[in-house]
Amino acid sequence: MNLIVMALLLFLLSLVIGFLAQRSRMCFVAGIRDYILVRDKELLLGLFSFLVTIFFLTSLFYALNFLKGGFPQLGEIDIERVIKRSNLSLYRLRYLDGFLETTQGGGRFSGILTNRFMYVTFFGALFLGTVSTLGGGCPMRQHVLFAQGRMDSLYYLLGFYCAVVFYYLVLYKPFLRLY
Amino acid sequence: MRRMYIKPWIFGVAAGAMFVSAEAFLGLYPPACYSFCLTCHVRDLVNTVTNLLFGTRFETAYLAQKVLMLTSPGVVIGAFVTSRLFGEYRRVDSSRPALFFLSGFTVMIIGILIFGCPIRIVMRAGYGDLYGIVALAGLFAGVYIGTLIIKSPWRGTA
Repeated sequence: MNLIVMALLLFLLSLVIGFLAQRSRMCFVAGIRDYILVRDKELLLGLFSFLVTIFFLTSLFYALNFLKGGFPQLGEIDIERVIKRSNLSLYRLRYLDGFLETTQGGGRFSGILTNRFMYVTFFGALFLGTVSTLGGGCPMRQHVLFAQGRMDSLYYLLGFYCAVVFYYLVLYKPFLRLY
Repeated sequence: MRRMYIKPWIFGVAAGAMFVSAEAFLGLYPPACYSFCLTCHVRDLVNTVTNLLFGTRFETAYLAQKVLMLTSPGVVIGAFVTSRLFGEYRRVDSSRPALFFLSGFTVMIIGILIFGCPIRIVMRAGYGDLYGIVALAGLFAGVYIGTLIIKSPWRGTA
Protein backbone atom coordinates (compact mmCIF):
# COMPACT_ATOMS: atom_id res chain seq x y z
CA MET A 1 0.00 0.00 0.00
CA ASN A 2 1.13 3.51 -0.63
CA LEU A 3 3.05 4.78 2.37
CA ILE A 4 1.50 8.25 2.43
CA VAL A 5 -1.91 6.63 2.41
CA MET A 6 -0.78 4.44 5.29
CA ALA A 7 0.41 7.45 7.29
CA LEU A 8 -2.90 9.17 6.64
CA LEU A 9 -4.80 6.09 7.73
CA LEU A 10 -2.81 5.95 10.95
CA PHE A 11 -3.60 9.62 11.48
CA LEU A 12 -7.28 8.94 10.84
CA LEU A 13 -7.23 6.03 13.27
CA SER A 14 -5.78 8.24 15.97
CA LEU A 15 -8.40 10.92 15.24
CA VAL A 16 -11.12 8.35 15.83
CA ILE A 17 -9.39 7.18 19.01
CA GLY A 18 -9.23 10.80 20.16
CA PHE A 19 -12.96 11.16 19.54
CA LEU A 20 -13.82 7.94 21.38
CA ALA A 21 -11.46 8.68 24.26
CA GLN A 22 -12.85 12.17 24.72
CA ARG A 23 -16.42 10.93 24.75
CA SER A 24 -15.87 7.96 27.04
CA ARG A 25 -13.27 9.57 29.38
CA MET A 26 -11.37 6.34 29.07
CA CYS A 27 -8.15 5.96 30.98
CA PHE A 28 -6.25 2.77 31.50
CA VAL A 29 -4.68 3.82 34.78
CA ALA A 30 -7.68 5.56 36.30
CA GLY A 31 -9.75 2.42 35.81
CA ILE A 32 -7.60 0.45 38.23
CA ARG A 33 -7.27 3.45 40.54
CA ASP A 34 -11.01 4.07 40.72
CA TYR A 35 -11.67 0.45 41.47
CA ILE A 36 -9.22 0.45 44.37
CA LEU A 37 -10.36 3.82 45.70
CA VAL A 38 -14.14 3.80 45.36
CA ARG A 39 -15.00 0.40 43.79
CA ASP A 40 -16.14 2.09 40.58
CA LYS A 41 -16.03 -0.64 37.96
CA GLU A 42 -16.89 1.33 34.82
CA LEU A 43 -13.43 2.29 33.56
CA LEU A 44 -11.94 -1.01 34.67
CA LEU A 45 -14.59 -2.70 32.54
CA GLY A 46 -13.25 -0.66 29.62
CA LEU A 47 -9.75 -1.95 30.23
CA PHE A 48 -10.87 -5.56 30.45
CA SER A 49 -13.15 -5.35 27.43
CA PHE A 50 -10.15 -3.96 25.51
CA LEU A 51 -7.98 -6.84 26.71
CA VAL A 52 -10.58 -9.50 25.94
CA THR A 53 -11.35 -8.06 22.49
CA ILE A 54 -7.66 -8.02 21.61
CA PHE A 55 -7.25 -11.56 22.91
CA PHE A 56 -10.14 -13.00 20.92
CA LEU A 57 -9.40 -11.12 17.73
CA THR A 58 -5.71 -11.99 17.76
CA SER A 59 -6.50 -15.63 18.47
CA LEU A 60 -8.86 -15.62 15.51
CA PHE A 61 -6.54 -13.67 13.21
CA TYR A 62 -3.44 -15.70 14.05
CA ALA A 63 -5.44 -18.82 13.26
CA LEU A 64 -6.61 -17.34 9.96
CA ASN A 65 -3.07 -16.09 9.21
CA PHE A 66 -4.12 -12.47 8.86
CA LEU A 67 -1.45 -11.20 11.23
CA LYS A 68 1.74 -11.59 9.25
CA GLY A 69 3.82 -9.37 11.53
CA GLY A 70 4.53 -12.32 13.78
CA PHE A 71 4.54 -12.35 17.51
CA PRO A 72 5.21 -9.09 19.40
CA GLN A 73 8.91 -8.36 19.28
CA LEU A 74 8.86 -5.44 21.68
CA GLY A 75 9.44 -2.96 18.89
CA GLU A 76 13.00 -4.01 18.25
CA ILE A 77 14.54 -4.20 14.82
CA ASP A 78 18.17 -3.37 15.18
CA ILE A 79 19.96 -6.71 14.92
CA GLU A 80 23.41 -5.30 15.70
CA ARG A 81 22.11 -3.81 18.90
CA VAL A 82 20.46 -7.08 19.82
CA ILE A 83 23.70 -8.98 19.28
CA LYS A 84 25.65 -6.40 21.21
CA ARG A 85 23.32 -6.41 24.14
CA SER A 86 22.85 -10.13 24.38
CA ASN A 87 25.58 -12.55 25.36
CA LEU A 88 24.77 -14.81 22.45
CA SER A 89 27.09 -15.39 19.57
CA LEU A 90 25.92 -14.79 16.06
CA TYR A 91 25.70 -18.52 15.40
CA ARG A 92 23.52 -19.11 18.38
CA LEU A 93 21.41 -16.13 17.41
CA ARG A 94 20.85 -17.55 13.95
CA TYR A 95 20.05 -20.92 15.46
CA LEU A 96 17.57 -19.40 17.84
CA ASP A 97 16.11 -17.31 15.06
CA GLY A 98 15.48 -20.32 12.85
CA PHE A 99 14.30 -22.37 15.76
CA LEU A 100 11.71 -19.84 16.76
CA GLU A 101 10.71 -19.27 13.18
CA THR A 102 9.93 -22.93 12.68
CA THR A 103 8.35 -23.66 16.02
CA GLN A 104 6.33 -20.56 16.77
CA GLY A 105 5.85 -19.10 13.35
CA GLY A 106 7.72 -15.85 13.76
CA GLY A 107 9.02 -13.79 16.60
CA ARG A 108 12.48 -13.24 15.21
CA PHE A 109 14.18 -12.03 18.35
CA SER A 110 11.72 -13.11 20.97
CA GLY A 111 14.15 -15.60 22.45
CA ILE A 112 16.91 -13.03 22.86
CA LEU A 113 15.64 -10.94 25.72
CA THR A 114 17.11 -12.01 28.99
CA ASN A 115 15.64 -12.90 32.33
CA ARG A 116 17.01 -9.63 33.56
CA PHE A 117 14.69 -7.80 31.24
CA MET A 118 11.76 -9.63 32.79
CA TYR A 119 12.54 -7.96 36.11
CA VAL A 120 13.18 -4.66 34.37
CA THR A 121 9.79 -4.95 32.69
CA PHE A 122 8.00 -5.76 35.92
CA PHE A 123 9.58 -3.04 38.02
CA GLY A 124 9.50 -0.56 35.16
CA ALA A 125 5.78 -1.11 34.72
CA LEU A 126 5.34 -0.87 38.49
CA PHE A 127 7.07 2.48 38.54
CA LEU A 128 5.16 3.56 35.43
CA GLY A 129 1.88 2.75 37.15
CA THR A 130 2.83 4.65 40.29
CA VAL A 131 3.97 7.76 38.43
CA SER A 132 0.94 7.67 36.14
CA THR A 133 -1.39 7.45 39.11
CA LEU A 134 0.28 10.43 40.76
CA GLY A 135 0.22 12.30 37.44
CA GLY A 136 -3.49 11.69 37.10
CA GLY A 137 -3.83 9.41 34.11
CA CYS A 138 -2.30 7.34 31.37
CA PRO A 139 -0.66 9.10 28.38
CA MET A 140 -3.82 8.89 26.29
CA ARG A 141 -5.87 10.56 29.01
CA GLN A 142 -3.26 13.32 29.28
CA HIS A 143 -3.48 13.94 25.53
CA VAL A 144 -7.26 14.19 25.79
CA LEU A 145 -7.10 16.47 28.83
CA PHE A 146 -4.70 18.76 27.03
CA ALA A 147 -7.08 18.88 24.08
CA GLN A 148 -9.87 19.82 26.49
CA GLY A 149 -7.84 22.77 27.67
CA ARG A 150 -6.23 21.60 30.90
CA MET A 151 -2.83 23.25 30.96
CA ASP A 152 -1.36 20.81 33.50
CA SER A 153 -1.32 18.27 30.72
CA LEU A 154 0.53 20.67 28.44
CA TYR A 155 3.50 20.45 30.80
CA TYR A 156 3.04 16.70 30.97
CA LEU A 157 3.28 16.50 27.18
CA LEU A 158 6.27 18.86 27.15
CA GLY A 159 8.06 16.52 29.51
CA PHE A 160 6.89 13.63 27.36
CA TYR A 161 8.52 15.02 24.22
CA CYS A 162 11.67 16.32 25.94
CA ALA A 163 12.28 12.92 27.51
CA VAL A 164 12.77 11.28 24.11
CA VAL A 165 15.69 13.52 23.25
CA PHE A 166 17.08 13.19 26.76
CA TYR A 167 16.82 9.40 26.61
CA TYR A 168 18.69 9.09 23.34
CA LEU A 169 21.34 11.65 24.21
CA VAL A 170 22.10 10.59 27.77
CA LEU A 171 20.43 7.39 28.91
CA TYR A 172 20.68 5.26 25.78
CA LYS A 173 24.10 3.73 26.43
CA PRO A 174 23.83 3.11 30.19
CA PHE A 175 20.38 1.57 29.73
CA LEU A 176 21.58 -0.93 27.13
CA ARG A 177 22.79 -3.25 29.85
CA LEU A 178 19.30 -3.49 31.27
CA TYR A 179 18.13 -5.58 28.33
CA MET B 1 -26.09 15.44 20.53
CA ARG B 2 -24.83 17.53 23.43
CA ARG B 3 -24.98 14.82 26.05
CA MET B 4 -23.75 11.88 24.00
CA TYR B 5 -21.56 9.78 26.28
CA ILE B 6 -19.88 6.58 25.18
CA LYS B 7 -19.56 3.84 27.75
CA PRO B 8 -15.96 2.85 28.42
CA TRP B 9 -16.57 -0.78 27.50
CA ILE B 10 -17.69 0.37 24.05
CA PHE B 11 -14.40 2.24 23.78
CA GLY B 12 -12.58 -0.95 24.76
CA VAL B 13 -14.30 -3.12 22.19
CA ALA B 14 -14.12 -0.54 19.39
CA ALA B 15 -10.49 0.39 20.02
CA GLY B 16 -9.41 -3.22 20.36
CA ALA B 17 -11.14 -4.20 17.14
CA MET B 18 -9.65 -1.20 15.33
CA PHE B 19 -6.09 -1.80 16.51
CA VAL B 20 -6.04 -5.46 15.60
CA SER B 21 -7.69 -4.93 12.23
CA ALA B 22 -5.38 -1.99 11.53
CA GLU B 23 -2.45 -4.33 11.88
CA ALA B 24 -4.11 -7.13 9.94
CA PHE B 25 -5.62 -5.20 7.04
CA LEU B 26 -3.75 -1.89 6.81
CA GLY B 27 -0.36 -3.50 7.24
CA LEU B 28 0.87 -1.51 10.23
CA TYR B 29 3.71 -3.92 11.00
CA PRO B 30 6.53 -4.90 11.70
CA PRO B 31 7.01 -4.88 14.68
CA ALA B 32 3.90 -6.75 15.65
CA CYS B 33 1.35 -5.16 17.95
CA TYR B 34 2.42 -1.68 16.91
CA SER B 35 -0.71 -0.11 15.49
CA PHE B 36 -1.20 2.15 18.48
CA CYS B 37 1.13 3.22 21.25
CA LEU B 38 1.67 6.68 22.58
CA THR B 39 5.22 6.35 23.89
CA CYS B 40 6.64 4.32 21.01
CA HIS B 41 4.95 6.41 18.33
CA VAL B 42 6.02 9.67 19.97
CA ARG B 43 9.54 8.30 20.16
CA ASP B 44 9.42 7.42 16.47
CA LEU B 45 8.02 10.80 15.51
CA VAL B 46 10.59 12.76 17.50
CA ASN B 47 13.46 10.59 16.34
CA THR B 48 12.40 10.79 12.70
CA VAL B 49 12.26 14.57 12.91
CA THR B 50 15.61 14.89 14.72
CA ASN B 51 17.22 12.48 12.28
CA LEU B 52 15.96 14.58 9.41
CA LEU B 53 16.94 17.92 10.92
CA PHE B 54 20.25 17.17 12.61
CA GLY B 55 21.43 14.04 10.85
CA THR B 56 21.54 11.98 14.02
CA ARG B 57 21.02 8.24 13.98
CA PHE B 58 18.56 7.68 16.82
CA GLU B 59 16.74 4.41 16.58
CA THR B 60 13.21 4.11 15.28
CA ALA B 61 11.02 1.11 14.79
CA TYR B 62 11.04 -0.47 11.35
CA LEU B 63 7.56 0.78 10.56
CA ALA B 64 8.56 4.37 11.32
CA GLN B 65 11.21 4.32 8.62
CA LYS B 66 8.39 4.13 6.09
CA VAL B 67 5.40 5.78 7.76
CA LEU B 68 5.34 9.08 9.60
CA MET B 69 3.84 8.35 13.02
CA LEU B 70 1.28 11.10 13.55
CA THR B 71 -0.52 9.30 16.35
CA SER B 72 0.00 11.74 19.18
CA PRO B 73 -1.01 14.87 17.21
CA GLY B 74 -3.93 12.88 15.82
CA VAL B 75 -5.27 12.04 19.25
CA VAL B 76 -4.89 15.64 20.40
CA ILE B 77 -6.61 17.06 17.31
CA GLY B 78 -9.40 14.50 17.41
CA ALA B 79 -10.10 15.12 21.08
CA PHE B 80 -9.85 18.89 20.59
CA VAL B 81 -12.38 18.94 17.75
CA THR B 82 -14.69 16.66 19.74
CA SER B 83 -14.49 18.76 22.89
CA ARG B 84 -15.24 21.91 20.86
CA LEU B 85 -18.13 20.19 19.13
CA PHE B 86 -19.73 19.09 22.37
CA GLY B 87 -18.95 22.29 24.22
CA GLU B 88 -16.59 20.74 26.73
CA TYR B 89 -13.53 22.85 26.02
CA ARG B 90 -12.61 24.75 29.16
CA ARG B 91 -9.22 26.27 29.79
CA VAL B 92 -7.84 25.44 33.21
CA ASP B 93 -4.52 27.00 34.07
CA SER B 94 -1.73 24.89 35.43
CA SER B 95 -1.15 24.77 39.12
CA ARG B 96 1.89 22.50 39.37
CA PRO B 97 3.80 22.64 36.08
CA ALA B 98 7.06 21.16 37.40
CA LEU B 99 5.37 18.13 38.87
CA PHE B 100 3.51 17.35 35.66
CA PHE B 101 6.61 17.94 33.56
CA LEU B 102 8.53 15.47 35.72
CA SER B 103 5.68 12.99 35.57
CA GLY B 104 5.57 13.03 31.78
CA PHE B 105 9.35 12.84 31.63
CA THR B 106 9.47 9.73 33.81
CA VAL B 107 6.61 8.01 32.03
CA MET B 108 8.27 8.51 28.65
CA ILE B 109 11.65 7.22 29.79
CA ILE B 110 10.15 4.08 31.31
CA GLY B 111 7.89 3.72 28.30
CA ILE B 112 10.85 3.67 25.92
CA LEU B 113 12.69 1.27 28.20
CA ILE B 114 9.91 -1.31 28.48
CA PHE B 115 8.45 -0.71 25.00
CA GLY B 116 5.04 0.64 25.72
CA CYS B 117 2.61 2.98 27.32
CA PRO B 118 -0.22 1.41 29.37
CA ILE B 119 -2.23 0.92 26.18
CA ARG B 120 0.42 -1.14 24.51
CA ILE B 121 1.11 -3.05 27.71
CA VAL B 122 -2.52 -4.17 27.78
CA MET B 123 -2.41 -4.82 24.03
CA ARG B 124 0.71 -6.97 24.30
CA ALA B 125 -0.84 -8.92 27.14
CA GLY B 126 -3.83 -9.52 24.88
CA TYR B 127 -1.54 -10.67 22.10
CA GLY B 128 -0.14 -13.27 24.48
CA ASP B 129 3.32 -11.78 24.85
CA LEU B 130 4.88 -13.02 28.10
CA TYR B 131 6.63 -9.70 28.73
CA GLY B 132 3.34 -7.93 28.17
CA ILE B 133 1.62 -10.05 30.81
CA VAL B 134 4.47 -9.41 33.24
CA ALA B 135 4.23 -5.69 32.50
CA LEU B 136 0.46 -5.74 33.04
CA ALA B 137 0.96 -7.36 36.44
CA GLY B 138 3.52 -4.70 37.24
CA LEU B 139 1.13 -1.98 36.11
CA PHE B 140 -1.60 -3.25 38.43
CA ALA B 141 0.82 -3.40 41.33
CA GLY B 142 2.14 0.06 40.53
CA VAL B 143 -1.30 1.65 40.38
CA TYR B 144 -2.09 -0.02 43.70
CA ILE B 145 1.01 1.56 45.24
CA GLY B 146 0.14 4.91 43.67
CA THR B 147 -3.35 4.72 45.12
CA LEU B 148 -1.92 3.97 48.54
CA ILE B 149 0.22 7.10 48.21
CA ILE B 150 -2.83 9.14 47.18
CA LYS B 151 -4.86 7.82 50.09
CA SER B 152 -2.13 8.21 52.67
CA PRO B 153 -2.37 11.23 54.98
CA TRP B 154 1.28 12.22 54.59
CA ARG B 155 1.13 12.71 50.85
CA GLY B 156 2.60 15.88 49.47
CA THR B 157 1.44 17.70 46.39
CA ALA B 158 0.48 14.82 44.15
